[in-house]
Amino acid sequence: MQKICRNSFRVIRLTALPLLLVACAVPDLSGEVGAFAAAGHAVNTPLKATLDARLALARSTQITDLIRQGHSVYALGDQCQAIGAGLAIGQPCVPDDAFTPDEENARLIVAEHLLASLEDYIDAVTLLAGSTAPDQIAAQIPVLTGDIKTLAAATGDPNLVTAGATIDKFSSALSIVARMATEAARATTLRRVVRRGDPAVAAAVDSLIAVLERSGDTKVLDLYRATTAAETAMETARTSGDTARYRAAVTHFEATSQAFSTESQTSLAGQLSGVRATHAALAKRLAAGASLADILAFTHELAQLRAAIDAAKG
Amino acid sequence: MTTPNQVTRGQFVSLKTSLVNAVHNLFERELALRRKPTLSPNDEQVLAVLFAKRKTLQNAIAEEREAEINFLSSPATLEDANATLANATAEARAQLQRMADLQAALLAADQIVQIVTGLVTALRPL
Repeated sequence: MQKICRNSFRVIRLTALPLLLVACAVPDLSGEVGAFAAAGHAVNTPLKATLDARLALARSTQITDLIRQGHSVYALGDQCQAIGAGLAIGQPCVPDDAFTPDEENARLIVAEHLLASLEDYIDAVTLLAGSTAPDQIAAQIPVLTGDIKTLAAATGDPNLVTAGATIDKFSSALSIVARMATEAARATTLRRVVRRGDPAVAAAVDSLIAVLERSGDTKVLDLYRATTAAETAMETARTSGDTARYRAAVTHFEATSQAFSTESQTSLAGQLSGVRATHAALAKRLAAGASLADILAFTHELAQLRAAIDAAKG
Repeated sequence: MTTPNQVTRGQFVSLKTSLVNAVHNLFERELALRRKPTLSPNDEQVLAVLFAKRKTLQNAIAEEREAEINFLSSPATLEDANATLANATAEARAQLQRMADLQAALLAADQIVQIVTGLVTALRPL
């Protein structure tokens, strides 16, 4: 596509510029961005519900321990005093925790922050990829230049009227260049954000999966162990000479390995892996798409073309 | 720039990959034997040795994965992942803001021109 674009620039006619711009300046990422966002949003709600439930349980367990040990649990904080004093009626009173979260509690609190960050990142990338700013900026230029031309006509000054005509002449080129500049900025930023974000997304996904494994909400590792054990039992039964025992061991192995496979694919951990995979696909697509050099080359070609047209017009 | 956590992540991945590859090599040899129409007593002995070695490595994979889970789910590692992701998000949002600022500047310039045009038109009869 890039080669086609470069060659097209050499024979392009001005009327085809906007179409070529759309086709060449920035790769169409809607599929990749959509898949990434869909994978992220799909897993967010059930994962948040799971983490919320785990956090409530971890907190309740810690509070039970604190009570048993005679340690502090709550203190009535400033907000509650302000409500009592009539200064903040209508606000909620949330007692302050008088304890430091233990490791399990802290892990789940940070995991919830991490999940929120992942959602935030997905939103930012989706917004950046789908921003209509370049179109809007391009549309604003003719409006601005049209108004400058009106101003020139209003003054009646012959020099300004000439200037207005000149501005009018270059208005469409200005729009195209403005759009290209903003598209180029967006393409460069997207490429940089996604390239840098890829290991960050992978790390976030790995850590969230680890939290799920550790809390027992995902059992991929447990089922891997169970499946390897079932395989050992099957091999032992095979060499035992006991056909019935061997048949039972085979049946058990089939069920265990199926459960392992299902857990890998359909658990929250499996869905989270989909977020990582779709982001990696987006990064790969961006890396293979139109480069900034192509876009700048297009700008250069455009300037030359414009100069040639102007020269031909005399 | 690599952080200590990235180094540790990389070490886990490297070790696990080596173990998985070692299991694969044993498994290939094992499978070649299992697919023979008949197994001699010697084949069975070799098979038993290969299988036992593979099981040892599979246990090592599980232990390594468990250690990795403990590392990845520690609050410190989670904080690190959160900070890295937040930086990437901030960069995307900053670019969105720059585009919004440019739009606003163009709109403001247009409004100024319109105001000046209005003034010029109004003052012209004078």
